[in-house]
Amino acid sequence: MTSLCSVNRARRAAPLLSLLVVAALWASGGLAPAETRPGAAAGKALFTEHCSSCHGVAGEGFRSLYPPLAGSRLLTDELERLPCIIRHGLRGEIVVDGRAFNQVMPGNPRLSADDISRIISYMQSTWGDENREIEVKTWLRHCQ
Amino acid sequence: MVRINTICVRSTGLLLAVLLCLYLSGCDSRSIDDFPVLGEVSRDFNFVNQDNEVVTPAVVQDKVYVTDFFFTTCPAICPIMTRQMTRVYEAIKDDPGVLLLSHTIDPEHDTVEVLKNYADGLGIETAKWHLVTGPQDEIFAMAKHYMLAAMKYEEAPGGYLHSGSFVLVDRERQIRGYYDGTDPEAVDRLIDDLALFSESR
Repeated sequence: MTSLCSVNRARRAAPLLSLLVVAALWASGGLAPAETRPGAAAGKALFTEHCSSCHGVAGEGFRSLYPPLAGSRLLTDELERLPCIIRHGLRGEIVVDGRAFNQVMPGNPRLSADDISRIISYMQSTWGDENREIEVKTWLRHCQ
Repeated sequence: MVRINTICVRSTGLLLAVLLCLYLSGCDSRSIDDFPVLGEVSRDFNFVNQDNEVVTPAVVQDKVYVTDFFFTTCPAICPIMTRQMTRVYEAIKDDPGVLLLSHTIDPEHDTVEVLKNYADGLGIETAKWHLVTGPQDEIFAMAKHYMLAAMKYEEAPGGYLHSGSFVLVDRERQIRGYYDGTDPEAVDRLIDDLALFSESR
């Protein structure tokens, strides 16, 4: 009887427990959607200020002038290149998703490593793999 | 009674005809006379476009044209201006009476080859949208002549300060409007106004 009561109590408590677990995960960032991640708003604001005028608010790119970011290999297979590209810019032809682009991308030498991290985090959470993280400061030390 | 009915029918027909005319004309009763003359483009110029062709006032003779100042490596407003100018291009590309004329303010970097590459990226036709380069002091002087700001300024992103305006110039080389080239609604107005200027002879 006692054990039955315990089971019943446990059954009654289960939804509450689940809620508490979800809340704890949410608070720790484990299940947080992109918009509620710490720094996500700052990342979005930095992206809007420094990136969106060329690459588009939705990362769609523009004609054969500015490459798209949304769905691009840059955010999946070549993520480690991004810190240096954002800091120092890019020259010469690149191929993004089978299309050639050949404009000068100006660098952003005034952006701090933390700001670059926030921008990359925003782009990943919006168009890439949000669970993948890179050490931006480390990659910035190895720019060529 | 029959006569009254005839008058009624005729009046109704007239009213319908007037309404049809208003409908077909889009109820746009505007005229280019409503646009004040804001300046005269009297200064001579001699630039080179993305196809290495000389661009002088002869190229814009008897044309309505839109002009602006930009540079290809500009990290700030230029990409937005270029997107908006591309909208204007798409609206006028089949209109033989209208041209676009964009000047680079960074001729040291924006050579003919660089402008050609930029034009190819945009996918534009040179005869409709000239991207021109030339001596920087001449380009700055031309900007001033259009009453637009363009200057070197190291603190600014990309090293230049310049206006984001698009200027509408009529067939008589008179300035008839300034439009914020970073504002899609202002550019909507420019596209409407261009159609008006293009149609009026």
